[in-house]
This record gives sequence, C-alpha cells and structure tokens, in this order.
Amino acid sequence: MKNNFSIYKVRIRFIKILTIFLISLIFLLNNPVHVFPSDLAKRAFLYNDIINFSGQLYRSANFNEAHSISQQFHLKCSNFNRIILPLYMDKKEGSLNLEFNLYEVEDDQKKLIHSSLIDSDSFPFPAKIGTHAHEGVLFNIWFPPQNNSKYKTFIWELVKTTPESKATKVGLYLTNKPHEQVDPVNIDGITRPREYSSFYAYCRFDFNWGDIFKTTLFRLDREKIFLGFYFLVLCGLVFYIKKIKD
Amino acid sequence: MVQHFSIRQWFFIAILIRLMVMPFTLHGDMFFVYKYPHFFSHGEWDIYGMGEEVPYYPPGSVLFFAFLQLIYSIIFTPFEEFFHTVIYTTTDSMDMDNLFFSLFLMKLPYLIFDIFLVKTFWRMCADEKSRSKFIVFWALNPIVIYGTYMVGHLDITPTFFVVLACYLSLDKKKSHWACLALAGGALFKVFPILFLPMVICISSRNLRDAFRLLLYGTLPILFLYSIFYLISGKEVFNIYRVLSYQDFQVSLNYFNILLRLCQAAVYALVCYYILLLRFRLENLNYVTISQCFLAVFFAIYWGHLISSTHRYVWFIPFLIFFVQQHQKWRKAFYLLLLIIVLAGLRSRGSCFGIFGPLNPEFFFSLPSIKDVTWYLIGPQFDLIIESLYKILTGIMTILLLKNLYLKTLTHEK
Repeated sequence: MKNNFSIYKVRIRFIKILTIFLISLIFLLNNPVHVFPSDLAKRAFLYNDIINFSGQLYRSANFNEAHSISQQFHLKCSNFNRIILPLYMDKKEGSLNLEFNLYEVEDDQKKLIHSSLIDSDSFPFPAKIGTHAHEGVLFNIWFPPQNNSKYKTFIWELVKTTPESKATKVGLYLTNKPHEQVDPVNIDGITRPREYSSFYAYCRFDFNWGDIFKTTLFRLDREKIFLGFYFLVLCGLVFYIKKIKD
Repeated sequence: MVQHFSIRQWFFIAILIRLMVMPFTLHGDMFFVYKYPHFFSHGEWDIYGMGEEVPYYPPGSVLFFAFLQLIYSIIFTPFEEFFHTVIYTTTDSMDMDNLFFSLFLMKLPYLIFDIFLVKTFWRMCADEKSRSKFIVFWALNPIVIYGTYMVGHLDITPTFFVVLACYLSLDKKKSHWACLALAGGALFKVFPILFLPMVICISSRNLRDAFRLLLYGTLPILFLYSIFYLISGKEVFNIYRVLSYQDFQVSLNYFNILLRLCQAAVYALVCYYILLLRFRLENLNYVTISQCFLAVFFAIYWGHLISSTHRYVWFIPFLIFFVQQHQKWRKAFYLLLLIIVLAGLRSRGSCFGIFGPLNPEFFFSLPSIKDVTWYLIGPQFDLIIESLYKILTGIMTILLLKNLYLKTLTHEK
C-alpha cells in the first residue's frame, strides 16, 4: 500500500514537471523573439546556408601581395544577414585595413548592399579553427537581413585600403573542394578556376510555423512508400512488445 | 516503470528506440564512414593514397563497408544512386530523394552488432536480475543511441569485438578466439588492439601460450595491412600518424608526456593485478575483468576530445556492467553521461541540427549548447566540461584500482 502511494506520488511529480516543461517549450517556441532580448533573438536563430571551410585548405596570396579578393555565391535561404570569413594572419608591425563590400547580382548588374571597414588591429589572437589544424581568425560580418535573398546571387569582396605594403600579413583560406553554391574565386580581377574561398554564409530564421510544418510534411511525403513500410514495422514492434507482456 | 517490463520487452524497446531515430537523423561524419569504401567498391583501390587530411579507418572497415555497399547496390538501387550522387557531385544530400531510406540502410548494420553485443553481455551476467538491469541501462543509454544511431559512427562494431574478447578471454579453450576478436575489432578501429596484452595476461597459461595468443591477435592485422600496403604504400599507416600527433602532440609537450605516463601506469597496474591473481591461482571473473577493461578505457579517454561522443560508446557496456554491480556508483555514472552528452552537443550540426533531414533550415537554425553557453559564460564552457570530465574519470580510475587491489589484500589477510 505504502509502495503504491509512493509510486503515485512520483507519477504526480513527473506529470507536474512534464507539464511545466511543455508549457515553457510551447511558449518558447511560439515567441522566440519576445522571450529573448530582440538583438539576441536576431543573432541566435540563424541558418548556416553555405559552409565552405572544408577539403584541402590553403592560404591565398596575402593582402600585401594581392589588392582584392571577391567571391560569387548563390543562396538558398531568405534573410541573409551574416558572413564569416576565416582569415589567416601573420602578425607584424603595422595594421592592415580592408574594405568589405557585399553586392547583390541581378541581370549581371552589381548592386552594393553593404560596406564596412575591417581593421586587423581588431582581430583576436589567431587560434586553431574548429577541429581543423589551420590557425586563423573567424571574422564575423553582420548586415541587415536581405528579405528576398533566397535563390539569389551575391558577391562579397575584400579590398585593401592600407597604402604601405609591410603591414601585418592577412589573407583568406582557399579550398579546391567544389561547392554547388559557390563559384570560383576572383583575385585581383582574375578568376581562378577550381579555387574557392572558404567562408560561411548565414540567414536569419523566421519562425513561420505554417511553413515549418509544410516543409517537414513535404519532405516526409517524398518518401511515403518507405515511411509507410517503416511505420508498419514500428507499429508491429509496439504490438509485439505489448503482446509478450500479456 | 522499469519493473513493468520484462527483459525481453526491454530488449525490443531498445530496438524500437534505435529504429525510431535511424532515418530522421544525420551527421556529416556518417558519410565519411561510407565514402572511401564506396570508392573501393567502385574499383578505386588506393583509398589511403587519396591524400585527404583525415585518414580513413583500418582496412577491415574498408572491406566491411565496401562489401555492404556492394550488396546494397544490388538489392537497393535507390541507395546506390543516392550515395553515388552525394560522393561524386556537389549536390546537397538534404535535398535528395531517398534520404530517409538511405540513412536507415546505412545505420542498419550497427543494429545487428548492437544486438550481438547485448546477447554477449547477457552471457557475462550472473543472473536474470543483472541481465534485466543491464538491458534497461543499455536500452535508454543516450550515448549509444546518439553516437551510433543519430551521428552514425561505426564505433559499436569494434565495441562488440572488445566485449566478445572480454567474454571469451576467461574460457581457456576459446582464448585464441578472444585474441582473434580483438584483431577483428582493431581492423575496424585502432583501440581494441590496446587490450591485446591485457587479454594475453588473462588467458595465457605460460610464455609459449602467450606467444601463440599474440600471433592470433596480430597476424590477421598484419595480413590485411600488408595487402593494403601493396596498394597504397605507407599511406595505409596514416591513421597512426594522426593518433600520435594530432590528438596528443607528444613531442616537446611535457603535459602530454605526463599524460602518457599516467596512461601507461594505469595499464601496468591493471596487468600487474591480473598477473597477481593468476599467480595466486585465484579465479578471475567477469566482474573483475570488466573493471580492468573499464580502468584502461578511462586512461585511454584522458587523451581524447570529449566532444567526440561516439568514442564513448566503447566503454559504456563495461560501465553499465560495473554500475549494476556497484549501486553506489550510480550517481557518478549519471553525472558522467550528462557531461559526455553536453560536451557532444556543442555544434548546431550535432545538437538540434542532427534532425536536419526532417527540416534542415529549421533544425539548423536552433542554437546549440555551445551557442547558449558562449552567451552565458563565454568560451570557458569547453574548459569547464573537459576539466570536470577528467577529474571525474581520474577519481573513478583511482577508486577502481583501489577497489581491485584492496579486495585482493583483504582476501589475502
């Protein structure tokens, strides 16, 4: 009797915790923008559309040798708002200033949508990047979300603005691994075939639950024959588990 | 709830849970496991000479997964089309047809090894009660489910071979099979070979017998490596270069030399303990030798990255076996699991992103543990979790060794 009572108490406690958890989860998922400070929400829910820091990585010419590096790419997500550039840096006397420009390409016309200055003095000390053996700095560039960026083409460009040539050596990591969304890199106006710059491109995610549900359903629907068979196996297993108990 | 189900039911619950996550979860590492065997199955023999930054696993993995893909390509053509496109083109796997089906097929062999592992461990359990406890812990174990069936790493395979070696090592008539099992495991991943000297200590009757067992444990490895050496040259040993220098960087790093010394000391103490018992003609049992395996595993892990959750599948069966015999270690066990799981969920791809096949844009947009902790406490999270892990396993190793030696000394008195 006492044992039954304690089991009952444990169950009640479990149901209470579960209810609180579910309510919090529903609240959190429905209001991600309101629960967190607005700035944090904009930065927290991001989709990493392009990851091009893979394959055999090697260093590009540094910005004392090259004047500009530009990279064309194609996005598959809306609200494009962030780029991360993995830069290598050999610290020396004197800083290096670069200009970052982001263009949208439409009908072969480049439209500048964002421009900012990068000072090598603002870089943290170079460290090992992720699980890679390469050392460098992951430089974040944030810009206002581009609402209609899905299936559009963009170009980012780094241009040296420091006049002297003996400044800190900064350059990009390149890779020869092709990526379906990334075109060959352009260094000083020359396109390098089979060479791509390594970078990450992100889009801010908007919580449209209707779209999320529709996309998930569409993806499940693509494989309905396999999934039908699969759920049949699962149901069979559940019934079997119940049956062997009986 | 635990008592509501019988052992058999728990066994099938374990299968059900694993089946439930198999088609809907993906981590890029799984494609790495299948990639080179795919080349091999298509006649590109020199897979070790492809000059990749991360070398592929030992030859047994190549042969096993190449053979598997050959069979799949005959029976399931959609899988062959799927994986061939993933490997040879730049198409995003998440956008492809037959994704769920292919993920399911790729993880299916792990389930078979998992079942064999459970069956083997059951034979090591003394009674129904310990079998029941083992299967409950195993069925609900987050590291096994996550590392094997969500991330899709092959670690359950060599783990099964190590468990098999542990089981066979106490049977004098089958001790050579124990060494062969270790050789089999070492052909999938390197770590099982580390247990060969220990198993020889447990199983051999004299020096001649030890030499015979050594041959059983090494000849299959040498044979397969020499075949692949003829194809790829010294590149076939690249995995050892990575193990020696990338993870540890032994040269000129005093901390790492100290670490290696500690690892060697644990190993020596374990082997000495086994020999001590054998010289006194005391019977070794599964409870004792599983503790020896566990102590060596702890020592191995001191040199590993804690974020590689799949590697922790190796010691889970031994840990469960130990905890069910020593209930007071339960809390430490849960804490250890929590630390490993938290450390594994660092990146978005390893956290919610693992459910990417269902809706990549949504799941990859959700912050990971690293994002949250970076915001709350900065970059110290990795250091905290790594230190916690090392302290906890350090204490556990000392206590394990103390328990083993104290038991022997008490018995002596």
